[in-house]
Amino acid sequence: MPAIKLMDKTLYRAAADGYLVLTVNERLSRYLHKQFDLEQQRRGLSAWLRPNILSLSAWLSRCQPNLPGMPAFLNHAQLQRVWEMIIEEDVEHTGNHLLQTPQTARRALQAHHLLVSYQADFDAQLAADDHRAFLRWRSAWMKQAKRNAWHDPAELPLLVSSALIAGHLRLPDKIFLAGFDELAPDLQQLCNAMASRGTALESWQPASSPTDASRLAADDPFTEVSLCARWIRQLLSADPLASIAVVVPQFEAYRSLIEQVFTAELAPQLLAQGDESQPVFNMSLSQSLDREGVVHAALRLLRSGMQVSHEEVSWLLQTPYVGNAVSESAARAQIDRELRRLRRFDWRLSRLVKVVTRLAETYSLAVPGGLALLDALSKGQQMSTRQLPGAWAESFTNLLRQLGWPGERGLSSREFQAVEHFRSCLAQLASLDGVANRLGRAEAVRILSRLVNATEFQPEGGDPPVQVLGALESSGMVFNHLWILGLTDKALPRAPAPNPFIPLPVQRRHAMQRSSAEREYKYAEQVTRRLLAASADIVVSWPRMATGLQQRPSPLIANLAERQPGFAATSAPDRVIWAGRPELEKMTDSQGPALVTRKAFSGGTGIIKDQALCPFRAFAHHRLRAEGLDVPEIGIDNMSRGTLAHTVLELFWNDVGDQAALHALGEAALDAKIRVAVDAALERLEKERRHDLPARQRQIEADRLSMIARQWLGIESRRGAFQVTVAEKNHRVKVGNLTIRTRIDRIDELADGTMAVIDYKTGRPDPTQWLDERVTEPQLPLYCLGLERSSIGAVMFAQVRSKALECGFRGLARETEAWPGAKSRKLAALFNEKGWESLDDVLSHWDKVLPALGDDFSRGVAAVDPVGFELACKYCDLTGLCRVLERQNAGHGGDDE
Amino acid sequence: MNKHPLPPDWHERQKALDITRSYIVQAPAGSGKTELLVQRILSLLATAESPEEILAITFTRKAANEMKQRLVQALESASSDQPPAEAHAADTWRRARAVLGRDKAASWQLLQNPSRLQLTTIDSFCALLARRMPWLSRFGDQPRVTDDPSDLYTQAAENLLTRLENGSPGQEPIARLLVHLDNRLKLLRDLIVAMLGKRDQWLRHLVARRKLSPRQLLESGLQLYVSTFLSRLNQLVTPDVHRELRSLALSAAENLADDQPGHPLVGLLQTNDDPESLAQWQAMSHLVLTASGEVRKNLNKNSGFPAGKSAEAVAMKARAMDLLQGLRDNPDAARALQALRRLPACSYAEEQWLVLEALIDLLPLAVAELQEVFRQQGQVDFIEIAGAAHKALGSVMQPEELLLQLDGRLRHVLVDEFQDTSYAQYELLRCLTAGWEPQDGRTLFVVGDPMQSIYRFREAEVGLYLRVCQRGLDSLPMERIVLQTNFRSVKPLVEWANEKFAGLFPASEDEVLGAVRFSAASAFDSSEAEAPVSVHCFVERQDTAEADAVVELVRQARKQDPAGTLAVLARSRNHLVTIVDALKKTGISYQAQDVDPLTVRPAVQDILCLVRALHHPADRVAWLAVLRAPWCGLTLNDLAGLCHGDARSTVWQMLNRPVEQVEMFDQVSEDGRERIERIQPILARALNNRGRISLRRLIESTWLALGGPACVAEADLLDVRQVLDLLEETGEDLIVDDLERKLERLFAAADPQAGPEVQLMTIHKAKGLEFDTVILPGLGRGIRSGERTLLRWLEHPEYELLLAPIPPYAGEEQEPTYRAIGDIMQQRDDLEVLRLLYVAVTRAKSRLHLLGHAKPNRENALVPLSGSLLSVAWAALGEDFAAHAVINENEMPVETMPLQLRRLPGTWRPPQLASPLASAEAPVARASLGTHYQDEVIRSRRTEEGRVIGTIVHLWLERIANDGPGQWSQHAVRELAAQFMQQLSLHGVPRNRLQPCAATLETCLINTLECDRGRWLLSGHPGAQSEFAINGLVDGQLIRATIDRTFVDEAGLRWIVDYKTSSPAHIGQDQDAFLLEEKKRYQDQLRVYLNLIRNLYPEQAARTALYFPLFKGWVVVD
Ligand code: SF4
Repeated sequence: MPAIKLMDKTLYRAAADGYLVLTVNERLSRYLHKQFDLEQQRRGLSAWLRPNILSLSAWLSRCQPNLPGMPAFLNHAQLQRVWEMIIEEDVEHTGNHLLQTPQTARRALQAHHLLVSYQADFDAQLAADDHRAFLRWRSAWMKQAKRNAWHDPAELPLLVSSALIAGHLRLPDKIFLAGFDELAPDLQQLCNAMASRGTALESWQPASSPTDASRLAADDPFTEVSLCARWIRQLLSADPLASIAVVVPQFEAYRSLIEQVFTAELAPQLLAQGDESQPVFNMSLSQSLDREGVVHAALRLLRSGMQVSHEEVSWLLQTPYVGNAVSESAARAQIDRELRRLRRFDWRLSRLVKVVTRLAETYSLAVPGGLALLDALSKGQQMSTRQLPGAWAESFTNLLRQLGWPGERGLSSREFQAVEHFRSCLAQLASLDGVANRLGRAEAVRILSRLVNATEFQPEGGDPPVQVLGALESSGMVFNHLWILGLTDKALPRAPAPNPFIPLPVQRRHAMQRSSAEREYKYAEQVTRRLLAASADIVVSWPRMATGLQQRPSPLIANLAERQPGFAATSAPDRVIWAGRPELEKMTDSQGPALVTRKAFSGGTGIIKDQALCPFRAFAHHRLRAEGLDVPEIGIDNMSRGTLAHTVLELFWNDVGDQAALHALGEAALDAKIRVAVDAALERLEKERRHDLPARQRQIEADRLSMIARQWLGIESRRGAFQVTVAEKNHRVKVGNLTIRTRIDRIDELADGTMAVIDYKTGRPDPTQWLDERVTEPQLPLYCLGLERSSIGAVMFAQVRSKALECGFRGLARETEAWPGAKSRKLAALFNEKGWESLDDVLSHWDKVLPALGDDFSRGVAAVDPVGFELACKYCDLTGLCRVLERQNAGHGGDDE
Repeated sequence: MNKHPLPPDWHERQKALDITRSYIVQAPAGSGKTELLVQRILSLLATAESPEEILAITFTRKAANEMKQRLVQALESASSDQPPAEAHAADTWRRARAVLGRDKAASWQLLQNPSRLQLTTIDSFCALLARRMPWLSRFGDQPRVTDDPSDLYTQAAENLLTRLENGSPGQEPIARLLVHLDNRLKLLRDLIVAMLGKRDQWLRHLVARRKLSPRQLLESGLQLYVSTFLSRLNQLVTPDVHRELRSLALSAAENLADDQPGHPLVGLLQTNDDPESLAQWQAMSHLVLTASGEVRKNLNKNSGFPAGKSAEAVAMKARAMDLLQGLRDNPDAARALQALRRLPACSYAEEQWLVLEALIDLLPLAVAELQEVFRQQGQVDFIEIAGAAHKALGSVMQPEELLLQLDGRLRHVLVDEFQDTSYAQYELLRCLTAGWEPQDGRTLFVVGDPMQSIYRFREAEVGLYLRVCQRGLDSLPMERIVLQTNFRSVKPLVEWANEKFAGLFPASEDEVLGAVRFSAASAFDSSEAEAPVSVHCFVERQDTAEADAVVELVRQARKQDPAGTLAVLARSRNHLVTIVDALKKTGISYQAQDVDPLTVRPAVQDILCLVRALHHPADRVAWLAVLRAPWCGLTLNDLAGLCHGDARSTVWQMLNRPVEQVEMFDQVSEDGRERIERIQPILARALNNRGRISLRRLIESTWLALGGPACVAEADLLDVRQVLDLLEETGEDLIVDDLERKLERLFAAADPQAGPEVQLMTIHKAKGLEFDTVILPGLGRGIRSGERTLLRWLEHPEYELLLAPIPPYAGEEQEPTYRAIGDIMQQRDDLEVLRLLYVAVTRAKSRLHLLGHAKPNRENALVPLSGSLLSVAWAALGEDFAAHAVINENEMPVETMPLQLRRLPGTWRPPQLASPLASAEAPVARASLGTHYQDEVIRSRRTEEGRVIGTIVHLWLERIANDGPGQWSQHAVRELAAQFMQQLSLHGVPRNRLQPCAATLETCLINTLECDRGRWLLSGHPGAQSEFAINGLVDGQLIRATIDRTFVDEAGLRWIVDYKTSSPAHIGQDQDAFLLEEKKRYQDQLRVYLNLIRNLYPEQAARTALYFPLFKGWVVVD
């Protein structure tokens, strides 16, 4: 039998006799209710009157309607809003902008409440600017409150006191105050008023038990929390009914760690199943409602504007919390993949609807729900009137309903509760009608977000055996076992944190909470004393290192003896699975199935390029069709810019034809032709990309393209005579067993009757790659494969760039002199090294290498064998799939010079 | 000899403890400055009014923490009555003892409350100031501070750039810059992002400039800069030489004019500039300097001296050769002539000015956008905090006011690592000490070592140290104390460093360049030996060989001195990668913090693929990767079989293809199918869990279920945890690519098993630490040097501000002003590199190993890479290095062994995990929880209002019942209209619906009062209770119920009544049908109530009923 199971006798009697028991907080009242119910059950009762136990603040609110004159109280959202508006006005008036008005209002309101609670005030004469600002806001509030007959719930203790003294309100003859460490002055006054009415007040704290507390130092917080969890497991396996509490003074710092480690150690199976429906421990301080997926999604939907980024589009198409999201999931994902291919950084919703419709048709993907969603969102956005918060609450509700929120999957119990809370936030928003004026949509969404953020959420249900509590929440409770975590000298005593809107001397004079080091030390002593009496079995721990810093134990636990309690072995699933790992199979898997000969496999030059760079890459890209998602970038992407430049020149030469014609053009005619080509190129791109470029960017790009074209044509006009014969011709070559489609930008017929095979490049192509063992730049070589050797006079990259000095032809020619600067020094050196003399040697090299690459591909050769990190892996999208990183020294850490 | 000799600079140290004076202390490596600071703080405390009078600012949180520990320890040991024997320690003991006395007298309780000691970093102190001064700092409440603000910057820059298309202010400047930058919007964005991260440095300049006529002002700065340089040049080049130079240059120009009209010298003929103008000087320099800036060795036709035989020509050439010789003998003058070519222009070219103007307009707008982002996100960066603190402090007119906000009157400020102070910090310090004067009871005490200033990349300005040294801080003169004793290193090492570095540091101080002079140290140690320094030089970069050499040195050191500590220190993390790989192979355990990047770990990549896959069903690479990862391990054959030429479908669709599609299953092997079958349900669950559980949980649970932990090494478990933590931080709004970027900043955790004996880290991290042996590898390597910024700026005490905009993207030539400022930055960098080497070297206590590579130049002399650590010390170390050079042994080509993959056996199943420890207590359910709303998740307005009205009606009915219905009249209810509206509004009924809802409410209450049944219900029967709270067990479940109304009627029958505010009128239903439906709906609930009441009052007969005030409806439910 557990040691403590019985409810404290005095309190039980008081509760059973129907006396009023006022607790320091909600938690304690819940706890006492639970204990009482257990006790009644233990006594064999099957029904009983619910005792009169409630928190002091709940009792005060209950008194509200019975106060004489029935004063009107604002709710918290209203109060906050009123203060915000006061500050906004002041900011406007003084011209001093504040970074965060809502937060300022919250802090100022807190200061106001402190003053009310401590019945203090101060003089502007003895204040600094910050305090004077606060005094302005405060007097504005007082004025408004008076005018509108508003009351702040913080005034309740005093109002109730006065009412009591005036003989209003009914009181029982005895009241128990449970769990109060100390009483603020206003509460003290309330007690006096109660007493003056002849009510006996009895203060109650749990009887302290003989304590066996020990201290434990852990290496770091992770170890500390793990030990604590294993201690709990040990205790619970010995006695499943034990009541166990973990008190954490630095709750926020430890929260996530506790959540992780406790789940892992106490409910490993549930963790691995992703099942959160049966919590095994309870955290006293809940988290913001905003963290619940379903609510978060609602806010994000409401927040989205007319112009949405591609990331937002992705999210809209992926979130499960809208209508038909699950049934259309795959189709929507594919739509998003295609959208990303268009490389548009952000979209207008109305435009997006059209493009998605078109894509859905093109790829026969059914996304009616998705379209309806985007459409509804876009229409919902168009509402731009200013209206009252209540009207916004309704608009938002309607919009969400139209969007199919919260989606087609049934709601889990947790989600259901979160939705309920969200609705109450909408109600709070609507309640602002009482204090606020019309506002715009964005503002309304912001206020709603803040309300959601400020709402704490903790799903109900279950009654886990382990309680994790903050230092304050455990008032009045006792446990079989208690662990206090993280008691460093920073945790207790805490550093003071006075409210900045009240002068420090005033706070000190009234000994306000958190106002000074002395005050904090007293508080720390009090808390420690209470905690150390809350159980017969206590462990206090602290980490030696935390956040990279050496720690010291709190001076308040200096006298406790060091002792190691018993721990269960770890049950954390990662450890357990790791410990139970099998011998891993080893394999080399560098060969996929060969191509089926019956079916022709065709593809672009990319196949050969990939095969050359890394066989695995070719296999993955072209056989598995694995391609990473595009990530649109801001502005016009490099690929499009390249295409644009190509197109301009292609269109130009289509029109002009040869060098002679170019020479014949006058300055003005040349400009005109360039302009025409530029406009046509831009239009073509816009059509392909299914969207118009933004006007200003388009104009700048057009100027840029004209400049580049003029610069480039200058180079063309100075070289030997030529005639452009083919531009962008599609063409097939056989490479080993493969048929490869090759595209060539341009073929010039030269004066000597030979051809120059030319490819435009806006990057910095490197012709030396043609000489690589694996020909890692095979596009031009592949084209040449299909040509009569002697007819090839030159193979050239046309490097078209903005910088004039970087423009020019780079490559190989039979007549080197005709192409000055084309053959780089490096290329020449390589030629020497290999002992090659002419273009023919290179062509032979290609004849040899390229078919072999083609054959490798058809045979399914898929070795992870990149030609080098820089060239192959650095910009490859397959790093995760090919597992090249399993090889040590995969190329990282190299370049710095 | 004394067992505890005093250090030679003992008197200086004593002086530093005079707490009535302000000092700037130069404390070289190993001089025990922390001890000195501790002693001074103790001395200050002993006489302080309150501990908050003293503020000590350290460079890092770690240092603050350490100093606090030292202070607390000193105070603790002072509680013992026995002073320690050692003189130094005894001194500290005495001072601490005095503090304890003061503590007791003033009841500070320092030992119980150590947080009263204000030891903090400048960032935390700024945060404190901003927090305490919410209005003056303009923050309002303190926002969160992020140490990775890049997302915020990016957001701001992107917001700014939208102005290009929407016509708001900034449009034209953006357009101009875009044209300038080749229409590269992304580049422009990135450049703006970079600028935002340094806005503390330029914003004040731009804001100040915007108001004045900026061009003139800025150009006058440039002119002053140039003219100052020229006048210095005039001192170096005597008037005679100048005359000679000019005359020769003119005749050479004439010789050149015909053949080479473009030659720079020819320019001399065409202008009638002042002969001392910059253009003239620059042109003349071509006479004596080659194009690359070296003094000419000979003269020929191309330099204006045709090979004529005429006496005139010969004489001229001879004169010129003399001139050249003269220059070679006067290297200062030669250098100055070289520098001429890289001077800024005296004015801006038109195009350049337009761009600069655009920047002056645009950048403040970028800051405004950033502030908007801060506002929206409730987050700021450290710069903003510092700015706010400064603003707040600066606007306090009366220092007295500070007392109302801070915990004590600040009287003493101590600053550690003062050499790494930034401009913003310096300004803040000025604010804090404004009005302080000597001997007024307030002191400033700054400590640092200018030779160890290495945080330029974090805006440290060693020039500020020099400034304070020379001029004090405003009205507060600072006395200079120079410490010399090095307690750390052995004497031979100290002397070696003295010898080598003395010649490397510049001879004179220069605030602008941050040039500091060397100050020799004297060793406390007195041993005599060879300098314990070894040098290893490689010809050409040989990372592997160098790493092997390092490993060998580590091995030796471990053998010779197993208890000693050893550190391998490198300039950048990159330089340690090969060494880490080499060390891993040896099995020597080591601690490496922030060295081993997580992104290259396969285990981490697998998690990342899992994230990607679950994030986007169409991310095919990620999905295939999940199937190929060791936890599933499909072969290429199976993957190809699965995809089967289908390019469009998602992999998840393929995995779920109906089995009928035999074709596909034919192609997947038996083993493959088994593997798929194991993981398919796990992935299905994960997909279904999206959004329901946090992203972190989603990934963690899936990884566990897949068997992820079984596939990795033990150390990887820690790595994975880091990734999961990162996921938790990112939260639900994950952007995968951002995640990857963030991941790049994470490193494998230090081996928890490794002791401190062998450590690897960067030199920056090693600052303040010491090791017995120090190994410095990669001295020959460089780091990626500074990128181009939108704006280059230089603050100068004499020329004020020099500004230059980025040159055009497509431009060919360097713009002189941009380049000139860049040159100065470069010089600063070079000086800093030297200091970095000095810091590295002085970490060693007894042994030092230097490793680096150099390349032979054309003359076959070894030369280190410029910008490398070795290059700055080549003058002193070059000889040694050359003597120890090891020729390239041809690095082994990396073998291309086929890649070995590992995977779980196909039949593997995870071990059984422990089930949760369940609680045996009865769950608590609530009977009153209405279940009928659940079918409608988003309620219509009507339902919502109905619910609110219901709640309020209940309240009033309770009240009426308590008062007794006799006390209430219709009139009294009508009087309550305002109350009703107020309550409705509180519950979220919008303003335009208040009237109708209040009317309904009124109807409910009036109806009840009007109707007999209602009055009967509410009147004071025996046992009557409203909101009757009852608990009990029903069907083994604990129920907590609240019954609207219960009483015993005249017949002794107990009624249990629930009020319902619904009505048939709403749905246009016939009343009887409606009642029937409601009855059905609530009968379960009422049955529970009935059960409870029967349990409580077993002998009483009881009935249940529903009452509908809205239409006076009544139905008995049994
Ligand atoms: S990352 Fe490198 S090894 Fe992997 S597929 Fe790409 S190129 Fe090949």
